[in-house]
Amino acid sequence: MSREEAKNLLYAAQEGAALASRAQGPFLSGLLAVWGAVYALGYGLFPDSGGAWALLIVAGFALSFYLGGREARHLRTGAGRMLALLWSAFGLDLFALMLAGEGLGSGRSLAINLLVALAWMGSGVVLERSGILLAGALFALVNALVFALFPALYFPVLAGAGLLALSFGLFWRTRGLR
Amino acid sequence: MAFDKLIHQPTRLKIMAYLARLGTDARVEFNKLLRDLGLTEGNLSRHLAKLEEAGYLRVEKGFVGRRPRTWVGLTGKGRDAFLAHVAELKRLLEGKTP
Repeated sequence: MSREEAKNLLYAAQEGAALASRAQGPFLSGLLAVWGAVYALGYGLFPDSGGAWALLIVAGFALSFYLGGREARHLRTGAGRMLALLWSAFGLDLFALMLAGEGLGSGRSLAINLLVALAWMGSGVVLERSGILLAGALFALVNALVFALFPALYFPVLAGAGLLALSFGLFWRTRGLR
Repeated sequence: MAFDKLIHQPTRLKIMAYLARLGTDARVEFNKLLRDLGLTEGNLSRHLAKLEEAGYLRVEKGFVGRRPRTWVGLTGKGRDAFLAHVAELKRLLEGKTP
């Protein structure tokens, strides 16, 4: 076999692997859009309403598990099962926190968002996607910095981040990014 | 180690690479594989049959709701064969002898 032929075959293998990475795109972009919408609505319109937040979070988790269930009709992976477990545990914790008091005071909000960032980073590790890992780390950093330096802007910045995530999720979903 | 003649065919190599990226515990529905790899039904079926015959893939029939589905997954033997083949290709490109 010539080196040129080997090169072409390696390219075919890389292409196959890239297609598999993209296979989970519709699910991940859907998740990003759903949670972007939750953050944009929650922090933008109802930052202090415990009832609205509880409804948004329940809706967010219901939609996420619907997307996960739809994905499982075509693709079932060990990583997918681990993600379902990770986010179920996180969802229960979050809902318990929501039931514990009214609304999201900014201190409690920071604690929850750092946990969200950790869950995203964990998802990046499970899925072996450095982009998700970095996005989780960036989300934690932005939360900590804005909370410490510009506390009055904390909720508006999170609402903006939600809008950004929603837009990117929809763009990813329609354009089929990796 | 010699090249694996079965995986050597580019479409089969692509199928193996796709499944290897997802891992041996993953199962992909036939129609998704068809769409993602951009193959025709007959073409994909033929390649899958050859790979299954060699023990590189497992093909399972099942149902999602009432609809019949075919699931495809990579076996441990398939993963090992794919990795060894890719290693051989890389070795050839780097100009090393085994």
